Amino acid sequence: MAENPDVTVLLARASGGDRAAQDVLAPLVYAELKGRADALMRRERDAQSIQATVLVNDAYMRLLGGAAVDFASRTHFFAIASNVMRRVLVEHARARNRQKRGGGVEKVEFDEARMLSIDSDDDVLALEDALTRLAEVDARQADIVTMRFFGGMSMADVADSLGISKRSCEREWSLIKAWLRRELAP
Amino acid sequence: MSADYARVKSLFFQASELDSDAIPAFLDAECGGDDALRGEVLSLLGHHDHRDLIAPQSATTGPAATVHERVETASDDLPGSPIPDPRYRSLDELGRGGFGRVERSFDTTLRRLVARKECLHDDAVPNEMLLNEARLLAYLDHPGAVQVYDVHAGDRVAYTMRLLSGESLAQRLRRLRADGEHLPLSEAIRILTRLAETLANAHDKGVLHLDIKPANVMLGPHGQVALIDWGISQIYAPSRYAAWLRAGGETEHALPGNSSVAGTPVYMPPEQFRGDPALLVPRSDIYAAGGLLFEMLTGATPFPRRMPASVLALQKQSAPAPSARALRPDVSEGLDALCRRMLEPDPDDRPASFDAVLADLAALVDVGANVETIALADGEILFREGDAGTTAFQILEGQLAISLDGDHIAIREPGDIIGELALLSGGARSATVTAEGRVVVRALDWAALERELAKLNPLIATLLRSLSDKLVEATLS
Repeated sequence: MAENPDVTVLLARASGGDRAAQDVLAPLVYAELKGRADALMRRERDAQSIQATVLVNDAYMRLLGGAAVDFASRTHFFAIASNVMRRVLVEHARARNRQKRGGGVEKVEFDEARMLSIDSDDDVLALEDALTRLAEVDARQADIVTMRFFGGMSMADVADSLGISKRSCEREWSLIKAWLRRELAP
Repeated sequence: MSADYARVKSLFFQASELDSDAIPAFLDAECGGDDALRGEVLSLLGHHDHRDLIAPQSATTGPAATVHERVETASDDLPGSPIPDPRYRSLDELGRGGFGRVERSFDTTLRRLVARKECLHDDAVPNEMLLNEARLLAYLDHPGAVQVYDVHAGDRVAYTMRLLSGESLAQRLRRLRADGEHLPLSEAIRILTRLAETLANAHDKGVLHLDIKPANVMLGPHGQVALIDWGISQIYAPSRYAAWLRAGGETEHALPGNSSVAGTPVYMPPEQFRGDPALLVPRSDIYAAGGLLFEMLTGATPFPRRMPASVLALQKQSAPAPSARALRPDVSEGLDALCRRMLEPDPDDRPASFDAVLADLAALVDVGANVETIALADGEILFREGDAGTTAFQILEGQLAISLDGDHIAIREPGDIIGELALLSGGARSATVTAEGRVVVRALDWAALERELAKLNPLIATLLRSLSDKLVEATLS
């Protein structure tokens, strides 16, 4: 039984292309994610990162409970939530950056494996900056990053949400990673 | 999507399917004279996932492109199961690359923390690459590089290395920038000295690092400096590695090495943009280290960070090396000159080796290192009253007797300076100076003084020049 049957319906309509449903849904998801992120950050003031993908999953469970949702709707939810999560994280990073300047010791970095990490506020803001630039040359690639990083969506789900094959999505992803590595190189 | 980007994308996808040897010719054919396009695709390829895999490949390795395709697909969705090794207790994940994972682990036998990198794939090729990576680090065998402890060379390769703690130089510089501060000059010189030692060792063994940048320099809590990420390093003198193997009784001389060029554009020397490994020499690392020195001194990179790789390459080839002193006045002339020489566009104009850089650094720190010394026997006269002279002397050993009209008036001891007024006036000596026993003095003419002033704190240098000007004025009037 869904905790919030309206959301199930809205989602089904939104994924079917209903703009009005989408306009109602986005603020709901935003309120849910923002509330949870705020609470989490208050509790763990020192935590550099909040687990974006965990929060998004959490929001899905809370808003939709165990409702039977078709695959398209589920993917659509995550696509919306990724964008919202990106906004929430950027707002937080900006707010905190205004508060603290200097001081904080950054966590130990092990660069050997060359991961793209979005662990700190600075990283979030640098990524946001890069994403804005990427969106100017290739909006779809920026969407892919948002869904992967902020929504924790699998390659298959991202491909599905964009209506492209998993193979071409993987190719895009390999270029995106190269591009981001270069742009985010310290 | 912008039309330019669509073209870049298409070439990137095609090139990433190719064997790395074939990429330059492919881009030449596709880009025609469009250097900007070629540079952009090359730059992106340089940051492609194969960077993780560019680690030394053996000659038997198949086309690189097939490898990273496979790894790419496999690594995206599957974490891969860890290799059970009872000796190491896995604590947490430190990072993950294209084909491996690095974990902080506890070595239950030696009871110490280590970083353990393991391959997450069953394919022979990535496993072999990981083994070669460990072998390269073992070959370097220097406290300033990553130290390999142990390797498990089974179906799934894993190796352990020294766990690095602390922060990267990039983090340190970011913190300082945020606070509007600079790295102390002595600290910049110390870090560069440690890196130069590590790289002198690597070059001596025929290995180039090729990705020297603040993010790859780890600063430990007690002053340790380690250069990490030798993932794109290249063996440019294979004979030295072969000799090393022979010395160990190995008969097979299969060499890790690779034929493609990667790197981080803002730190890369101009020759690294050309994509031809044959152009890379020890002086290529010196350029990158010069950029690193510049950034330590000023907080900024010598060339703007956000610039298309092709434009950057062009700038680095033609623009004169910037002056760190122009941005930070307390950088001495000597240090500034060294930094600019390291950043010369033509490799031949840079210091010949890191040993030469170390010698320059030592001379910058050792006051009087390049000043001529003179030994005097007992009773020998350094200069006579009335002689013309433009040289001052500092006593290093022994004593000098000063006399006027044959009368002994004073004794000067080691550390004392005599004849300093001659530096300014060039006039006649006002007394006679004789050695008492064996004496060694350092001769300081105006040129030598200028050289010393270039090494010193610019504050003292400016003060001295100003005082000497005033003194000359006062003497003349």
